[in-house]
Amino acid sequence: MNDVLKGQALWKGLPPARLRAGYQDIASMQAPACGGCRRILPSTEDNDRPRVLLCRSNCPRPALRETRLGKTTSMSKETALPSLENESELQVSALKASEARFRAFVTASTDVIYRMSPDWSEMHELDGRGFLVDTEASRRSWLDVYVVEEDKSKVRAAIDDAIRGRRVYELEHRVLRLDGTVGWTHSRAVPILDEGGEIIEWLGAASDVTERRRAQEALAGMTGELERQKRFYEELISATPDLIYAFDRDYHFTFANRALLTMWNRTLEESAGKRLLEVGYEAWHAEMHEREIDRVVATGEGIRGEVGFPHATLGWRTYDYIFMPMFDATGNVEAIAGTTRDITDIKRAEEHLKLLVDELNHRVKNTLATIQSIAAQTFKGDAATVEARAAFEGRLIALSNAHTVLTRTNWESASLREIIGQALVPFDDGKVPGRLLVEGPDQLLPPQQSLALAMALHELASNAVKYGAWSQPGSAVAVCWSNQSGRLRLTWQESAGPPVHSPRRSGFGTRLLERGLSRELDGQVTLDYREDGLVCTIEFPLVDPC
Amino acid sequence: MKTVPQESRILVVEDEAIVAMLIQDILEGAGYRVIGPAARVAQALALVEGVELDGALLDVNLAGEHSYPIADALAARGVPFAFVTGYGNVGLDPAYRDNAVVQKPFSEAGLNQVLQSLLRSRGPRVG
Repeated sequence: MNDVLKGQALWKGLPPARLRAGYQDIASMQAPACGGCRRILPSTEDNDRPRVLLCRSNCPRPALRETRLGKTTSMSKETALPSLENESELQVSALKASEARFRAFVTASTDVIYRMSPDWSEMHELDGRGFLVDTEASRRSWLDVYVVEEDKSKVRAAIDDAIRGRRVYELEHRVLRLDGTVGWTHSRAVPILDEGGEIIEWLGAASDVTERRRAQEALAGMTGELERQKRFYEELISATPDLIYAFDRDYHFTFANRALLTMWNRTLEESAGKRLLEVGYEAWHAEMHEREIDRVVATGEGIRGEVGFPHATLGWRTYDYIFMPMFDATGNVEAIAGTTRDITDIKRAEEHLKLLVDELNHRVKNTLATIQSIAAQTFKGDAATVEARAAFEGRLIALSNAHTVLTRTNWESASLREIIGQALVPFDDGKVPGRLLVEGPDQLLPPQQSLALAMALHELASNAVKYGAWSQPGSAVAVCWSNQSGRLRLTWQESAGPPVHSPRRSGFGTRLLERGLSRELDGQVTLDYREDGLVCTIEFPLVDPC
Repeated sequence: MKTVPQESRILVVEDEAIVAMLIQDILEGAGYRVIGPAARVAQALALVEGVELDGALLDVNLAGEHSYPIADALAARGVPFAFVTGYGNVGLDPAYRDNAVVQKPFSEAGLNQVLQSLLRSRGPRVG
């Protein structure tokens, strides 16, 4: 109800001439009420309003021949308006109906309707429709009220252009909405001209196109983002030294990046749609990859392999490749994406490293041999006993053997079982059953722990040979260990040997075991000189060798 | 320990003087007669040419040169030999891996053991 009143308010108080022209122009802007004929007549109750009947020359049912208008959009002075008294009852009711239709039309429209002064310096009226602030009394500051700062010049320019050409003003621009936020409007205004062709006023309609603009901007943003992403991936794929490519299910290359084309010395045009054999792969190689493609298609899982290929400029290279399935919407493998890395240099580096480690090991062994010789020369004659020389030599070889175990794993870790085995080889050839028992779950130890343990075992074994169980037949040594929640507990237990007593003085072996070893392993070492044989317990925290 | 028959003659090829001394001492202590020690391939080859040998101990790397030519010359004459090396047998050229290897550092007993088995493989010296 309120809206209806608002719709009426718009033309309330208009001078007849303007209203007349305005009706005509609004009528020309809006859809006609009936085919070819637009009749607008204000209510007879309202005497301010002109009695006008506009009718096109081609109207099939011209109501009043005298008031028929030509093509001009304005009315001439000569066009006399018929008085209501001269009209028939039929004409009066037709005009009434026409006006009611127009009112309903303006009311039904969600558009903002506005009126502007001829030079747009003043806004006479604006019905904001909840989109914009209403302007009920004329205001000059309309540009500040409605138009965002950035768009003012654009609006101004469009207005100037429309005024100059006396033509329809039309522009899409940003507006300050009723709620204070920025929105978009599509605004259109028509000039209302007097009989002399001068602009009397502008009548305009503006629709809220904020949602459409937002959607357009979002779409443009998305499209832009997609474009950026596309450029990003294209740049990466083109710049990487890795080979990137795709196959269809029938083994044809559908894409090859720059690195791959360089490897082949071919262009994309020469390669796309071709099978491996056709781009220069040997038969066995092509066959291998095609079977791999079959497997990826069948299983939906990627595969990885290593293969050599003659690079067009670098020569024979070794490659690490991965084929991955690309699934369609239904989950079938529709294509195969591949990426391949040249690992020639990595392989060479690995080999070089191995050589270096071997060489280093060799140097260490040679150095040990040199130390051995120096000791032998130094202790020559009466300087040391034969026994002392043998003990020295034994220790040196124990150290060397532990090195050998570690070298096999590039000094990363050593197997406890192997360390024990190597340390005891010089003392037990395994020919007498029961003489040595070695039992426990194998365990990887880091290099330093491995060396320390090897030296300790050597001392225990040579002590056993001199004074302990291994100094007589029928005796036994058991080396057993277990992993007790992160701590390794290893026992060396001699049995059925000669009676045991604590050594009177602490020699190298005892010292190394009781003090040096516990420190180096960060654990406890106990030597128990039991009647029936020495028991040495070594306990230390296990650390991950990696 | 003087169990060596007729003072067998053993060529020692080793470029590191200190190690060569050790080998020489061990061998002489066991009753062998040491030929050399030679420190270079050419020296060793000259000894192989000119001296009657019962066996030989060869360092593999002689100041950057491999001792394989000496090994070949010894093999051609039927003289048994062992390599003495810090590399162990994996450091040897595959063609020579079947030969005896003494890993450095070595024990006196270990070295003697290898020599004895070398000489046994050859049998008594003729002449």
